[in-house]
Amino acid sequence: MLTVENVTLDSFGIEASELNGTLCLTLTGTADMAAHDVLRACLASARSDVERLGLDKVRIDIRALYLLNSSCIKLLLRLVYVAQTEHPSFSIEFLVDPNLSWQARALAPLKRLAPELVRVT
Amino acid sequence: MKRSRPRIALLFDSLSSEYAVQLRRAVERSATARNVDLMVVMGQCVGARLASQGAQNRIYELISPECVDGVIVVSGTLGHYCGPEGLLALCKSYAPLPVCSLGVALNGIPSFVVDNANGMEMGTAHLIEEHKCSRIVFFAGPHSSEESNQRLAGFRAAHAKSGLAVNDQLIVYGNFTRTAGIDGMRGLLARREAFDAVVAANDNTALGCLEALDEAGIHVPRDVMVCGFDDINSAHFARPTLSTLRQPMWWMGERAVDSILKQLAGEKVPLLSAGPVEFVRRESCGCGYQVALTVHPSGEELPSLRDVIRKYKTEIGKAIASSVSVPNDALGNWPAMLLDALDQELQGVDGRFTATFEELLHRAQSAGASLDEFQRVVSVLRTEFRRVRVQNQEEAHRIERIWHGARVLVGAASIRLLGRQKLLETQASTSLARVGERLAATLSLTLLKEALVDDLPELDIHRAAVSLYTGPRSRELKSLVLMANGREIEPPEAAFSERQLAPPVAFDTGAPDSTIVLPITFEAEVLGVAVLGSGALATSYEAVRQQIGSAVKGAMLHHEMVRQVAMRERLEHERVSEEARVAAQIQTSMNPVVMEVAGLELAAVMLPTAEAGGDYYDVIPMQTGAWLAIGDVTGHGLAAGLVMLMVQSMIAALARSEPEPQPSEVVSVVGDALWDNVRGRLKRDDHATLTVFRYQGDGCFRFAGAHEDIVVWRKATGHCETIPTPGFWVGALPSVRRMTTDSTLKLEPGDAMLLYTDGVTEPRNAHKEQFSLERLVHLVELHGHERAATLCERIVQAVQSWSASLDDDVTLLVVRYVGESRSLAPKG
Repeated sequence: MLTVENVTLDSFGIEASELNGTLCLTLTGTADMAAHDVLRACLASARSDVERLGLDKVRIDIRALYLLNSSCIKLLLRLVYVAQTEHPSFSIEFLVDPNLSWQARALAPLKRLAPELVRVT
Repeated sequence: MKRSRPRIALLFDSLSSEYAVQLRRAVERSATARNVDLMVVMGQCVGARLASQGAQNRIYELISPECVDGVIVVSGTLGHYCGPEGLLALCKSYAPLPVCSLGVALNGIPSFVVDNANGMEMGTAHLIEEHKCSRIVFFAGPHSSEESNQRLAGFRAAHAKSGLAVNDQLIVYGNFTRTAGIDGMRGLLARREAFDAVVAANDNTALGCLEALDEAGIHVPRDVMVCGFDDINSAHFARPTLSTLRQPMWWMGERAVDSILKQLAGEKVPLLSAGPVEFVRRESCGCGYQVALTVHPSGEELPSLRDVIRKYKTEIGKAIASSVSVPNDALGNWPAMLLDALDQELQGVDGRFTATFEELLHRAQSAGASLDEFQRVVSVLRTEFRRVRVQNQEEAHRIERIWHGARVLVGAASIRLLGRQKLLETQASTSLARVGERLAATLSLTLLKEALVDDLPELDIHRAAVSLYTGPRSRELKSLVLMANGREIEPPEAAFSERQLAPPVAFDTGAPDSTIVLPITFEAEVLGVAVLGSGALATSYEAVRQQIGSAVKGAMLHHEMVRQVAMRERLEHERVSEEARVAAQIQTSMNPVVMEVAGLELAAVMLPTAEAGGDYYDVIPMQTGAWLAIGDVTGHGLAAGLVMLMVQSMIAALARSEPEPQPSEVVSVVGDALWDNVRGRLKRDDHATLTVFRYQGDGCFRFAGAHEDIVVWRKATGHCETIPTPGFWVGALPSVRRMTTDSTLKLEPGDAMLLYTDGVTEPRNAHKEQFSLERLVHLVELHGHERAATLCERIVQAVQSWSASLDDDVTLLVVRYVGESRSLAPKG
């Protein structure tokens, strides 16, 4: 049972599910300062669920995001950093929309940080 | 203050005690009959010890010529704690208003007292002489109560006249309550004191004694006889009914109002008047109903019932009138009417007596009489007529049917009255609970006002003026609710003196009226004054007073809480704004002043948002070429500005160090230092995007560090290239050295390089589409041939047109390589 909860704000949403050992988070809307706190709480729960349930992968789907600001990127960076430093480790896959080139560009440094753990597809 | 008719204040400590109900009714009736407005002011006993009681007593200080023309002080109950001295001080404080005291004789103040001593002597003597009691307990009131002490004196006097000694062990002090009677009697029984009768200084205490005696299995009156003082309604309905001394309530009510009116007219009034006390024999002293003796001589032969009426009409009328405590004029000379009706009935007008008696009971009920007193009326009549020789058996049956019918009427009327009272009390209780629930939920004075206007009529309060103090130590009130005839009227805007109690319009009634004045308090805090119409049940007023007090306090606390939160938010907003202003100042004041570099045409713009976003760009001319940098600190505000300042300072220092470092070295060192400063010292987790360029001439740039893609416009093609910036964000990791490498870029003459922050590409339009790198590139391709400054302006205009409100800094730096032979240095 996941502790990470679905979130529905006016301009931002998170849907969480678990499938075959992968924790899936689908982010929608605008990940700006209004979304910052709920995203932080969501990622903290996700990190806890991964450890508790022994999951090996987190998939974050940002294809329906209009914006991912630097403060929210910082939260994703923290998750990558945790994946990199904690044991057992887990991988992170970001799903991006190829038509929204900013998405891949914004996440490129994360892949650079941990190329063995982070995939941007 | 001139009023259309006199207004008198009646100062009470309670509205709901039976004594208070009866006395208030007597004074109200007298005031109405004399075209006087009555204002019943309810506080607590003078000198009461609790702070909350003291707060309620503040209402007495507000009584002044501004609101009344005279004051009646119910000293008998107000002075339980303060004694005559305290009462006298209270009365004198109202000078120059005419004042009179009820219940306690006060020096120099017109006082109407019950003949307490003689009354109690009469009652005690009845027990000693008629019932041969010798060990009589006296239940007194508080030591300081003048009334109680006078009654004790009468108790002693009766003993002295009978040659009996008073056993002081049998004098029990209390506070006039039923509980005091219960507790006192239990204590007495526990001490195993022997006694054969109890005399209490008031009925409530006597009723408590009855309860404790019944609890102990002691029969009244067989084992112990009990006598009270006051003749409150409960005395009629106790089991056994309570023998007591009846106070002359109607007499006191009439005399008190008369005294004030005479003083107002400048007439002299007696300083002390004592009203007669009547002993009412009931079951608790073993006498049952007292039946008057016949008024005609026992040996006199009268031929018919009608002869008795004709000959002794006046005497019989007096006898039946004395059976009822309500004054005759309140019921309209009813004894004569009743005897006339009986006469007509005996003449053959069937049902006349019954109809008249029924009407009389109806009037008596309206006047507040105790209906069971009319059983005594029937008993007196029956006794009078019983000894008359009747004509025949049929007449005997007829007259008995009349008495029986009269008793049935009294019984039915009493039951109806009790049922109606019970119903009213139940309805009032339900309404009070509902009103209380609603008032408790009002968290603003506006809602409280609406609730009062809606709900007070439900409690039979159709007139109301609820006013609150304008501040904690204010002497002025401001109207909250003003209601007449059950409808809200617009309260005056202006505040008014607390001594007026309510806006003048609140008292504007055509007929003489009675109002209840209540202090609105919460614990020891005085919040305002309520002046309410007098139509509700007496028990409702105290509850409503408390409910309004709690609701006002709740609304005030809520208002204060909201104010505090708003103030904190405002201060926080001001703090943030001030921080943002300082941050913006830091950000813009650190922008390069000199933008002249040989071979380059430079133009830049920075538009910080209200909460500065931590953007940074720099141009540091060197002997050969220049250092250029662009970056963006995550977050907003002063903290982002500080981090930006650190980055700027470090780059400025490193750029001038020898030997000159590579851009990757600069970025790595900045990254290491930022991690240490921001994480280790500031305990924050900010990081920054940063790309540092070293221009070495000939259009050649070396660069390192991760920031936005570089847009390069090629003059030759008119198209743009986007060049990624490899590396990692500084401050995000302990070290970015591993991921930071140098790259190179060469511009041909006329080519332009565009450096920017995400404030240029991320603004969204109404459809949530970002301005995007693609649009930026398109724009540059359209206008790349224009001067750098013009290109900057076009991009800024396009971005501003794209998004209605920019929520991030917009920073642009356009660098055009113009060739080594030229040097263009645009202004600004």
